[in-house]
Amino acid sequence: MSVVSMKKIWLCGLESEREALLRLVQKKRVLQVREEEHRHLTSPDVRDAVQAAERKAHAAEQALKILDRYAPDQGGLLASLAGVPDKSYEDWLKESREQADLEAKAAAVIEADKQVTEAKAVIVRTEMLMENILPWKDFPRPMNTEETQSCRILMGTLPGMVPEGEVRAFLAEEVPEAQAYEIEMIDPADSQTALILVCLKDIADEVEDCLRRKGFARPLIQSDKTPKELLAELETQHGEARQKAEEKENWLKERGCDRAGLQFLYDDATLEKGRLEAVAKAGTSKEVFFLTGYVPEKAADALKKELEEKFTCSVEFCPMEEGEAPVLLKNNSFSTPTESVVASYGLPGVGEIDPTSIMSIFYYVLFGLMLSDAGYGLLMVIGCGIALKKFPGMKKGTRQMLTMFFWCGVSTTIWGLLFGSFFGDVIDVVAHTFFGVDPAKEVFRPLWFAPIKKPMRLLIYSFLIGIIHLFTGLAIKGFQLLKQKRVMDFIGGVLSWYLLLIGLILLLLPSDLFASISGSAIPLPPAVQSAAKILAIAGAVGLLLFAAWDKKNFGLRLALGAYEIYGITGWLSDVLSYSRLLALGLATGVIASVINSMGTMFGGGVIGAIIFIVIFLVGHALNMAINLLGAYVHTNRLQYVEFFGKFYEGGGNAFEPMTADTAKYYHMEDI
Amino acid sequence: MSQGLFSADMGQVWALIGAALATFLAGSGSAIGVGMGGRAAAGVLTEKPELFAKVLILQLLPGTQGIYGLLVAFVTLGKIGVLGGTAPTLQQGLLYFAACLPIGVAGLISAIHQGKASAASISLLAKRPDSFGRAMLLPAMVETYAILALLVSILTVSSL
Repeated sequence: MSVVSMKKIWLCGLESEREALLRLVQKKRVLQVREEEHRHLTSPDVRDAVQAAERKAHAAEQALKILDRYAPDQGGLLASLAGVPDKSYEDWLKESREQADLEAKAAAVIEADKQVTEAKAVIVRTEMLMENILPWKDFPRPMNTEETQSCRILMGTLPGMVPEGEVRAFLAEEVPEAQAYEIEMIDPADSQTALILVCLKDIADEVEDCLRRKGFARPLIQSDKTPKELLAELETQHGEARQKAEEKENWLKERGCDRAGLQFLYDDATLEKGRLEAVAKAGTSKEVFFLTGYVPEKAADALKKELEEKFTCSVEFCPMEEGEAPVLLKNNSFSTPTESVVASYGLPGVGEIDPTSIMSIFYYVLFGLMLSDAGYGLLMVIGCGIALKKFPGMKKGTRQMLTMFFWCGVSTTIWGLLFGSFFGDVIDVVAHTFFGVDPAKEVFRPLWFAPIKKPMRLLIYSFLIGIIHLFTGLAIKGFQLLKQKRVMDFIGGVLSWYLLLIGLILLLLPSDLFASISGSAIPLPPAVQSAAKILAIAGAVGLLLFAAWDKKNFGLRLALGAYEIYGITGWLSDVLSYSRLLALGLATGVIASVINSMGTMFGGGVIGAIIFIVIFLVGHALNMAINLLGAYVHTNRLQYVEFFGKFYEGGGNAFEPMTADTAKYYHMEDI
Repeated sequence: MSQGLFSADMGQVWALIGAALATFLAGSGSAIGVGMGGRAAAGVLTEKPELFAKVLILQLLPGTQGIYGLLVAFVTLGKIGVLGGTAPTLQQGLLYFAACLPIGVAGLISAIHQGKASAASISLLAKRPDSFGRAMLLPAMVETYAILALLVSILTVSSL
């Protein structure tokens, strides 16, 4: 209905009570703190505290994610609709005092998960090392045995299966001076060949280089223990890590009971951050803090009373400038759901009214006309209705969206009945195919007319609805101008347009041009026709003279006025834009009929009926989805571009009170 | 009787070519457009999976041209003796052909450009998830011209 009027307040309280006071303000959700420079007071530095709160929230979130992995919460697909549980203010305060415990729980969960990850890393590493050492298990000396008095011992692996002969042949070719050496093939496997080569020290470097070129690699572990000892050691480490991982995992699986607490920790830390952000905007001295803000007028006195009763503080109302107040919309339950449509375009700025209530009526009508199928409409009404009834606690945004689609569904059903469309022409198709009704007989008749048979008629009505929509927009512009006492702007920008447009429409109705579109002209008495001419001329002159009345230069004023008349082309394209009402309406109906006739291609009988049902379900689900999307998008477009374009700019700042609704898992009750 | 494409019995062929053009030009445009949107959407979803429903809607916006083409094609098929009606004369067939062109050509081009706008809107949504309304509106602007073409096509086809 309107923009809620606001009061500006000054709030001064004791530093010692600041935290408790702000908690209460958060619960009331009616005070927006204003960003301001406070003279003679210091702005507290809250960065560290904010970071601490963020860390807490982050830890809680991280712990919750870990719990989701180990102890998933059984939540159905519809769980997100159910909303979040309530928690009373007193419980909230009480649990908030146990925040340190909850932090410890979060830290324990995170630590346990870290240990699991580490243990798993150990498992992987030991397994790899064991595999690497395994070929040497029978080697009786330490792994780092390098040399004897005159010989070098080369231990390592070559990639692939390499027979001893091949190694010898290769060495003979590359290092011909090497004669005295011994090779022991330890473990020829498919993937690698382990070998020990003993040779004289003077040629050892050349031999090793040569082997390296073949891909020779020493074992990963160089140790003074024998392979056997190493293997045993790794085995123990592996076992321990495995046990630890299992233990910690089992512990984590039982921690589902901590979920509620961690969720609360997240919410509590988030609210704490919200309070700190408010503190950053306040001014403080040693003993007191001071802040300014906005409160909806209706809630102002109650807030003042409650704060002054419970705390040692002073609340004063103070004057404010026009356009300074943040914007909060208030509408009846029928229009409220479309507030979000307005908000995503922009909230009303200075001197603008809240267009929600007027727009909501057009919104539902236009949406219904574009979808225009009683079957789809009923599905929307039933689906949204059940969801709204069954989940009273759902989040505000979801609730509003479903309510909006509920009303859109009602409108869709009505238009569907008017145009005789119920899942396309399913009633007729079924009657003709499966119940042997004479195909020439119409079973389900439209209450008004069928658009597919008389598209031009619906086109004319679409334009008519468009003109009503646009004229309403222009009327709102006129209302806003008159409210601000800008009479000249009203004459030049609104009244002249009405005269010109109404005159032109009246001239068009009896003309041949109109007859060629609609099939028949609407004859008007000559008196009306000459009146129409006068109206049109008066409007055009009005635009020419007054559209830019505030320009001192008369030539410029006329030129701008003439340019304003050129705006008639804009009106034409705006009205033509409403042809989408017909196009999208036809699209729904025709595709629905196509689906139905595809379904009947296999004739009557049981098999025909089964095939029909399958095609019917799949086809109409698709058609409904794509046309819902189309109707939604293009209703928004008609509102934003054509309707708002006539009078509305937006640009108001949203009212963003300190609120407990930033919490994600719990809803703080305000009683 | 003359020979070739313009012989008297080619009316139905011309009408059918028209229906085919309406379907495949507009359909190809939509496929390209939705594909562009899909690539942009997949990129955004790697970072912000919670935006799935919103980017899906934006991705689907250029899909309507294909449906419009199909619509015109079906109405045509229902009148020219394929799914119903009677085979048209040569003159009528050429008229059907001409009537199918607007949605075919405008559908093809507008769907491609709507796809580009959709992809850009998806990136916008990635940075500002709260501006869904605006992000949706920008590609919808392009669609206006497909709707105008659909209107001309369908009004002509159904009045023939």
